[in-house]
Amino acid sequence: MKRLFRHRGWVQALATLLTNANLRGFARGGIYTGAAKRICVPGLNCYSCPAATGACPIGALQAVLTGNQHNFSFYVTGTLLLIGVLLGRLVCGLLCPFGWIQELLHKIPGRKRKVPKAVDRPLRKLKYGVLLLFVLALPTFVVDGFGLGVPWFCKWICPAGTLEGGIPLVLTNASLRANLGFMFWWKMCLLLLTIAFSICIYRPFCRYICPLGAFYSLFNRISLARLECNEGGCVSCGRCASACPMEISLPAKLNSAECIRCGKCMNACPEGAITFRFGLARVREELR
Amino acid sequence: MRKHWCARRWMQLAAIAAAVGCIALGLARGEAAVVLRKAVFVCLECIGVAG
Repeated sequence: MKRLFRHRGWVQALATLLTNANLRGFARGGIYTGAAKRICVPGLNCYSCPAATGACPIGALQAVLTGNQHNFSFYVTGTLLLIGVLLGRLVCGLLCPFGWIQELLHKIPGRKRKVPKAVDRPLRKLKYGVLLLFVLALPTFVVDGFGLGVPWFCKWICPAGTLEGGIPLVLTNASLRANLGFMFWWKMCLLLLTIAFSICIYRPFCRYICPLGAFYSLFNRISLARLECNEGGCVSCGRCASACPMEISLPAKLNSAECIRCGKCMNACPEGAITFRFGLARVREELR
Repeated sequence: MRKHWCARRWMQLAAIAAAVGCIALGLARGEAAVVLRKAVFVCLECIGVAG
């Protein structure tokens, strides 16, 4: 399993390719319209990306909430719940295409910055507000006379939609190009800000804004995929804490809501005290 | 310690059961079709072309 985390970049690339397998879409300037689009992918990946073969869970959730048929989406919530309890934020660390893009941007040489804790801590709670307000409340309750709402997060915030869907489609589709207005340029500004911040801060969108990460983080403590520390093997050298790109107090908060399971702590531990485990909680082993 | 691990195991099992139940209920209500109908058209809000 350690090897999987050592080659995490390749796993992320493969996950991105599998999520966006319809590469012909970029040339055609259209999107995939097959039946697989009813299935939600685990990561943040705009379904208007020409290559996308599945539905973005955040977009899908808003699609159901903004319609006038259902006030709640059991299908998408159940899918997110299942992924959350199985993997937690391992999705962020291994499977999310937009997370991978931010990591690649962070590899661009330049001055890397750490956000002061006084600013960082309250900002990390912002993603829960984005989830509650822009993904759940506003699309559900702000509706027109026909009972139809607007996907507020996709419309006003999501830079993944602009990068993966907006730019490729606008470049290849003349009719879309002719209809560009304020919204497009607003979202371009947000995308450019995300890119600029990603170069100097590690995964800023995942830390502060991503509603999908916020949802999965609720399950990090109970998910089947988790990190474990053998306290007898830990020599308190602090290498895990300094290796953690999410700046978590390790090894004390090993399965913190902020942990994206990148496995860097595991690889940094000289004693091999941190391990990855997938499975139900071991009752009997603890009783021994 | 025993209580903690037992609780986590039960929470995992309950969450998996709830998730499977929710997915089945959502499929029965036709929500997957709603998702498909939305996802097969270019989302103008997502790409920033809608006004």
